[in-house]
Amino acid sequence: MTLLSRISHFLKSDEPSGTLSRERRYAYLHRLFIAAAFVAVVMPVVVITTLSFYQYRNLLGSESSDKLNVDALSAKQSFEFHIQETLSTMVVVAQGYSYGELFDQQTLDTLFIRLRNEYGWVVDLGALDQTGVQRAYVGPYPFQGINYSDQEWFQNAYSRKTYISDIFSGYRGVPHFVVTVTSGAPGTYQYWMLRSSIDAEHLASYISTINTDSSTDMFLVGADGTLKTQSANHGKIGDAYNGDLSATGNKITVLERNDDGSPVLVASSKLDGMPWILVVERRGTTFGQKWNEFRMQFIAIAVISALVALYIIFRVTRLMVSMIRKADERRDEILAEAQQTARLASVGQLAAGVAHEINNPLAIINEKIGLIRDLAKASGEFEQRDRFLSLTDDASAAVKRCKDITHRLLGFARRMDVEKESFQINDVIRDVVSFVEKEALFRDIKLERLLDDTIPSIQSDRGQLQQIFLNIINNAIDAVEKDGTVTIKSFLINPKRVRVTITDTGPGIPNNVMKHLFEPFFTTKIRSETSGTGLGLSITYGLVKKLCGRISVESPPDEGATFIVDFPIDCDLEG
Amino acid sequence: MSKINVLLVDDEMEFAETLAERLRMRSIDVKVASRADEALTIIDAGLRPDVVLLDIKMPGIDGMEALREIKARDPLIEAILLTGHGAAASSIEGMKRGAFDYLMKPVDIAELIVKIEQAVAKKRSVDQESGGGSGS
Repeated sequence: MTLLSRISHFLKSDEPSGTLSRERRYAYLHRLFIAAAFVAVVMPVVVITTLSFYQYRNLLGSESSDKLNVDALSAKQSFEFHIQETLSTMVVVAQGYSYGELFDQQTLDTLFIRLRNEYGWVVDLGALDQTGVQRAYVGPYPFQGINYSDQEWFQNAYSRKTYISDIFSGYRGVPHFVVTVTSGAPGTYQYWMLRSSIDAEHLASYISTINTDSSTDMFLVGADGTLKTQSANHGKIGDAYNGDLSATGNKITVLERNDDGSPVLVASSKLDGMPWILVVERRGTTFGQKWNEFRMQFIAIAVISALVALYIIFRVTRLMVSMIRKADERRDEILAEAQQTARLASVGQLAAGVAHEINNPLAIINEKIGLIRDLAKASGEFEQRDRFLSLTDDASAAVKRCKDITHRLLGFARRMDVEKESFQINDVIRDVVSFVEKEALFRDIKLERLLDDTIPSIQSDRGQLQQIFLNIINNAIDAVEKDGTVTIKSFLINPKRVRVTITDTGPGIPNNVMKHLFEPFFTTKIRSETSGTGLGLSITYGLVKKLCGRISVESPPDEGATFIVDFPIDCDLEG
Repeated sequence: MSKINVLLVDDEMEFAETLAERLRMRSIDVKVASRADEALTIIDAGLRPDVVLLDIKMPGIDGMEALREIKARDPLIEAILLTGHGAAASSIEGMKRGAFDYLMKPVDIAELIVKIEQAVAKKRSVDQESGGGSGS
């Protein structure tokens, strides 16, 4: 069964489902509402938040990748330009001299000075003949006349117009690379080679110049997979690079790698005309800090939203359950009132029938006894005449008692016509108190009146109101029995409603009696000549309802009882 | 003052006969009818009672209808309604239709005698004013 169908079933059912008590039923409903509201409100929030979260992250990831691509391309172009510029200058120089001129030490000195002025990172300059012998040399090392023919770089450069070697230590034991320009056809006397060396340290220095981002690791990797410049994350020159460069080409390639759970973006590209690959690594994203801030804000907003939603759901649910509970209670009250009214009506019909059926034979008995008495009186003296007459008097008294009972029953059953008039409710109370004052005095019961004389006139039926107060006050006097107090208070509870309370100092009303108090024929009085029929409070209840009133009883343990009756200032008796 | 004539109409004959005997013991002439139509027959036959004691609830023609018929025959005849049930409304209706008064069963004989005498006094004063006399 879905949540909604459960709630629907729950609300439609009149009785608690299964054996659930009403309180457990409300608790169950509370949970159902919360679950339903959670599914309807919080779940979409969570789903939308999660989707947005990942979408935003992907967007940032994509932007980071693009940014790295641009940065890497810029670095590649800058780096290539930097090295190629030196090479180009050497090409121009080579083209300006004929065979033999560059073997002249003085010419080479002049040329080196110019080159150094322009490119300070050039370490030395040498002119080699076709055999690999360095015929002229300018630089800090004693490399004049040295033969490079067995060097790998010489062999690679020999047949190429220009050449940039890999980094190696060479004769001087310092990591460096050479840049060469050749002229003339290889293997002829006209062939010569201009060679210049640059320390590998310069490459690292230049990379640090173009790499201004501290979160970015930029370095060169050789064809053998070893580092050619120092890397912040992969070690020093000569260490193996553990990244994957298999997809690297002449264009920038961007891949994502995961190092111990943190993403690393890797951009790489072969450098044009050089035996190296430029690698640019960036941990996290370009927007790392921004992303972290955003993520924290996002999580905080999501959590706060969820908490607020949960709080509102909880409060609204509690309010709804409370409203349902009140509606149920109101329904119960109305049902109980309807049952009470129906019970009174059916009892009233029964009472009327019984009273009528009893009245006729009672009338016959009454007349027969009367006749017996008349005959006895007319017969003159006879033995035990007085006793005889006394017995007929007793019988007449019993008939009268029966008559009173049937008349009360009829009074209970009868639909009393109401007469609306305007009067002071306190006057009615004073009238009633004056009726019962003697009885109270006889029993040493104090009748205390606390009447608010500012109460405006009310529109109601005076006679029936009198009957109501008489019944309740009589009841209170009977409850006190002797030596006690009956307090009658009147006051306004709001401008349109007046309340009268009748409190006695009697023994109070036990709970088991309380629930039957307004039922017809219910009485706790011991049967005697003066005992009631058990209709007094039933009649009172009916009259109070008829006069648009409400009646209730409070009886805290050992504190007597208080009857509370409310009436509107103006009762629509026709309604 | 001549003797009071009463016509007692009640379907409970036990009650009617006993009450009649008690009234007779108090020097009141009483005729008893167990049904309304029987009472009307008696009146039609020429009896003009001073007072009719009329039970409201009877089989056939009920007390209210009988009252209307009697008043139609002789408006001067006074009627006292006897009711065994608490139909105050119908009693009041009876008063509107010309009944002198009503009493609830079981009736107190002393109270009934007082009512009868008041009704007779009223009837006879009206009789005298109109210059007529009792038909009995």
